[in-house]
Amino acid sequence: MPVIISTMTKTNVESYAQERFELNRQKQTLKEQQQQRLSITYNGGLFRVDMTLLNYLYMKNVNAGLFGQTTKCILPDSYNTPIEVDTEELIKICDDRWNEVYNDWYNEYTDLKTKRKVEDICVEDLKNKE
Amino acid sequence: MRRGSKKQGIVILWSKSSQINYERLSHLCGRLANWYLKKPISIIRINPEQKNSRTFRYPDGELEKTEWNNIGRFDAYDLSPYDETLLIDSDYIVQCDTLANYFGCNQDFVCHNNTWDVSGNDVFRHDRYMTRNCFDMRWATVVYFKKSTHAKIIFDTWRSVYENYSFYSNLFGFNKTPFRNDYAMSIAHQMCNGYSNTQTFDYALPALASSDSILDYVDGRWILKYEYKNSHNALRYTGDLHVMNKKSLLNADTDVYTKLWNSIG
Repeated sequence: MPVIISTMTKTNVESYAQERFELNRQKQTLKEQQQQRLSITYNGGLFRVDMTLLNYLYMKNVNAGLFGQTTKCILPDSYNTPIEVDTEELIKICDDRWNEVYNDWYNEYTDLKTKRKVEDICVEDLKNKE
Repeated sequence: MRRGSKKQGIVILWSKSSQINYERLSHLCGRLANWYLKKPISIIRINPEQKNSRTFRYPDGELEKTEWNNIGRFDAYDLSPYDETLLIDSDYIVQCDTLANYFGCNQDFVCHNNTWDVSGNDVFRHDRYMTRNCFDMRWATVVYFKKSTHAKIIFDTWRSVYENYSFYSNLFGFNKTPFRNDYAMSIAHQMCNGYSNTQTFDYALPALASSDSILDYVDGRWILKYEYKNSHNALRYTGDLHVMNKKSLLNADTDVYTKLWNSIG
């Protein structure tokens, strides 16, 4: 439950320093903010990087390596437009974006999960003001 | 698309208001968009013939009727000097390169069909639909368009909806005052796309309601004050943000404007 504060007129961050920090709400916000970054453009198409796309691309590349299958194929993008892709090229772009986003997500979450009060999420700024 | 130069850029339209310094906001918005998206910007002043107003509720519960000159955005197609344009509101603060993905995509006109409240309060749940008949809402805050026939038709229809707003309000069943750009664009976008849920961004528009505010901006992170029933608290957020409480961006006490301005370059 959010903390009820005595006055509605607090406007600066210092006045919230001792309030309890809501991790569950913050987790949800963090998830949304990171997921919106999981888009990439390739050959005029816009793709959402998710586990389904990654699995498909990995499978195509494994088949190309093991059985000599082609790495060229047609995939529908987020707008259901068929796009010609090279799975070797696309997997690299998707993998880079996936790692970038999920590393940031993990680092942010690791940082946030130890926080208990509002001052903890902006402590450096508050210290600088002192 | 026109032959010759294939320019990509960002357009920000603003108009004079007696209550909020939109020119200042536009310059901040443009500076950050230019930095994160690596595209040239054009900040254009428009002089809407008709004034508009809307009542906002601020964090202290205060209600204020604000001059809200949002009319004229359908002129963006003609005003934009670019072949591919990202049209953004002056209160949309870019903080990452996600929107840059859309330059070069094979869509003519893309807008948001959903918005999410970064505070987690889900205050925009009532804006999922424009009407009680569940007419899908679109958001005109961020629009990507190409100079193409299809985009031109959408902008012309947008203007036509504005000119006949009273008729459309009766047809679809929404209030005819105040004029809402989002509504006019929603109707135009859907009419020109066969009322299908296509040509929208693949993520929701991150927004902060007018009842919430910005407490601080530290190292690329927003510290936001949110309300929940009768209480308030703060949370941290990183990323693009549509700040409906424009006053909190210009608040001299928190000096968020200067912090954002100095956060780059």
